[in-house]
Amino acid sequence: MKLRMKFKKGRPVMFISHLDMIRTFERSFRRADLPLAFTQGFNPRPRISFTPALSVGITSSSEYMDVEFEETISPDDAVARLNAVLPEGIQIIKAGTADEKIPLSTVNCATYIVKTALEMENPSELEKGINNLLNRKEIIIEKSTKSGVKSVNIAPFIYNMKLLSNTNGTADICMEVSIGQQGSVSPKLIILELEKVLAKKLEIVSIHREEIFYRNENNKILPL
Amino acid sequence: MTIEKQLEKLLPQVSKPTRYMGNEYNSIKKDKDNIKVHVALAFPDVYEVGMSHLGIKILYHLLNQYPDIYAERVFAPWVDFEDLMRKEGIPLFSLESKTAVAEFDFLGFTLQYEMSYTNILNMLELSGIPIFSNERREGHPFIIAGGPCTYNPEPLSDIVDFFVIGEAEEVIVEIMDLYKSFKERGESRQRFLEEVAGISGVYVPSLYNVTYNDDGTIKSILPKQADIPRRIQKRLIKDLDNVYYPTNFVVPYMDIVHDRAVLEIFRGCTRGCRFCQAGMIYRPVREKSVVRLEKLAKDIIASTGYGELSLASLSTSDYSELKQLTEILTDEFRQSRVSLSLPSLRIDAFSLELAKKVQEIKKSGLTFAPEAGTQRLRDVINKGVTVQDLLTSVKDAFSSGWKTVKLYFMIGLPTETYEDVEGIANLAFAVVDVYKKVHGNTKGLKVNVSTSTFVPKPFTPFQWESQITLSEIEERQKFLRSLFRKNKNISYSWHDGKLSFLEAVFSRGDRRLGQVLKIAHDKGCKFDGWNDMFSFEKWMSAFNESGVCPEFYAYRKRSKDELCPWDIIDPGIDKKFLLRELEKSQKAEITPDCRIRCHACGASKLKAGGCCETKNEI
Ligand code: SF4
Repeated sequence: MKLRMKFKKGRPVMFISHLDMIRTFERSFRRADLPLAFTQGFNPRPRISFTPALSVGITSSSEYMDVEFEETISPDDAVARLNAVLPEGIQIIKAGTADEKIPLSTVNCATYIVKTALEMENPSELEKGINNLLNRKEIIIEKSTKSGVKSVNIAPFIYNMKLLSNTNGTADICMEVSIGQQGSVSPKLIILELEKVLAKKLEIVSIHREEIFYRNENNKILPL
Repeated sequence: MTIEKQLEKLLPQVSKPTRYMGNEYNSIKKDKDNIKVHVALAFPDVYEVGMSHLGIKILYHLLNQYPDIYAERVFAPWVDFEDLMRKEGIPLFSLESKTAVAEFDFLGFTLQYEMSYTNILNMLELSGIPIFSNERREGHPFIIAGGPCTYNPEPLSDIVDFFVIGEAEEVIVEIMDLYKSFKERGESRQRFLEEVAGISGVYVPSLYNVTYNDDGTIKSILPKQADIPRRIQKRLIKDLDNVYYPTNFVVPYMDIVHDRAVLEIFRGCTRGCRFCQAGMIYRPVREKSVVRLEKLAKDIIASTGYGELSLASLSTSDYSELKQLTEILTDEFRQSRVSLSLPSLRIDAFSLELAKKVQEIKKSGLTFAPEAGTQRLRDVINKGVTVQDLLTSVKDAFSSGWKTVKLYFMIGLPTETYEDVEGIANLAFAVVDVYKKVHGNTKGLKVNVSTSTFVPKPFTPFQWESQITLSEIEERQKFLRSLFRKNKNISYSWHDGKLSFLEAVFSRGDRRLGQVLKIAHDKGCKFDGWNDMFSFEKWMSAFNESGVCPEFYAYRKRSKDELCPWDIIDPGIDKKFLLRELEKSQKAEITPDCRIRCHACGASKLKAGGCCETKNEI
């Protein structure tokens, strides 16, 4: 049977890579004595699939995985047993059946909260900068790829951006951006562009992924 | 700002930040205010290497069993992070509580290989602790060291406060107990060193005077006070079956060198290969029982969740109940998909059967270690393998589907001639021929031949021998390269001769090398075991400046009555035995496995294991 699980990746584990995360889960399932299903063949792998990898250094309260078990397990039981043996900083938030839910591979949008530090006398300046960036049709950046440097327009990948708070020299900026195969842009890059617009230095204090989901013209569908 | 806070800023800038994070599952957190002894267990290499060694893990969990002791881990920062630490003024810190190492009571290093010594100096410097022991004052941590290299402690004698010789599980607790009472009494650093020297297995080098002969050899190593032991007996766990063994191993996030659960099945080795130090110093053989191992294995997997369990020993095939043990464990873990790995297998029919069942070796290919190219030389070193053994096993392996074979050899063994070197190539060619016979062609076959260079080691029958010169090492490697050039199934790799030369210097070196280490460190030598970091030129200029001649240690054939720096240590085996073995080697006479017949090596006086010295041989 297959279960979908939503989990968080907190500060104590923010520097571990996607591969580290996979290994950590495989071992945690064994510690929890939950019977993972494995692939056939000479080098069996556990049947777990994840949403797109989170960059190292970013925390998240919204990661998902589909896990196949050899036996029927109640979602609540799985959550309780797993949480008892997970390392500090990783926690299962909820679990449920994956039936009739969107496939994890279709997830194409994420919201991030970026905490930045800046010296700015007039907060409305920041807000203006954000809106300026959001309303542009074209934001061309240079991306280095295997076949050399390429120019990419990241404007279509930025769906939304707003200033959540701006006090005591720190500003929280919320951004909704495209992720996955059809194109993605990292919050770090957006902040770089914002610096250009403001002609000011914005120091990133932390980046947190709030939610990931499937988004089309008029809909937002959560994986669980 | 606390170190923890600074790290949040700096870690995004370094490669592999997980090395410095700590916080792994099963790592231990304690309140520093409620402890009496704070111990930093250090490994002088990066995290992924240090976390792959068993000794430091055993000590970590053993010490942390005591509520009033807090043991934490410390590894060498990689160069990118070291640069940042120096720039930001961050001292070397422990992984668990991110406490500066200088604030600990003890800083204990595990010495696994000589080429990590400069990292010890660098770590002391990063901690702000004086490098030489005579510059340390009250309040500095005691610098201690253990591990296989301490069987010749002398090169580090001016740096380390005291060494722990042999198996540490019991003696480390005795040292902690003494320290607790010392702290309560509030006595001086010097007084503690004098008292700790009274614990069996502890060597406090500053309490000994070394004098030299005119030719540079050692005249005497004598205690400065009457109540200090003249020789330090190695510590040994008599009842290995009941000794402490952890089950709650720390589970790293990053992919470390040996990323698996480790179950130690026995200590010691009965084979008696004459070049092998481990085979001599860990005598006698002591096994753990199948019942105990089964219980440990279950508990380890339950508490770590590892998907692979490795059976550790010097020679896995020699465990007396290996068949039974592997059957029990494969049955036990079939359901939870835990695979077994059996390193250091001797490849014979029995082991091959086992390997097939366990199925683990197929991934990486089979490894054979004939060590020398001709039967004569294998007899000299007492490596009891014949060409016939090897080829039969290889044939069997090829028939069962293996396509990759690794062959390990040493060059520069005592009495080696070019005929022996050529024998290495001939053996590899013979392996290719066997494949041809089995499959009709050589499609898919890979034979990886690798050679290291013989390093004479203390407490082996070859401890009096010389190493071949650097140019000779390179000649013999060149010769082998030319022999293998035409064969596309064979790939040949070799260990850097310059490293082997330095290993030969330090493994049989004396106290005078401390100055060389200091100069090499000042010149920036560190991570010498890492190809891209090693600078032979710096090392050579360090020797030059110190006036210490490295050839004196590597190339000099020692006379039988010379006092060796390591003679201060009593490893259990007798010099008489080593000399007998040396004589036999010169006649290419072999000494069979001592389970078949005891050779009176001296280890029976340690009264452990199943030794039965019958004296009937001499
Ligand atoms: S005393 Fe005899 S049986 Fe024991 S280790 Fe030495 S040679 Fe082997």
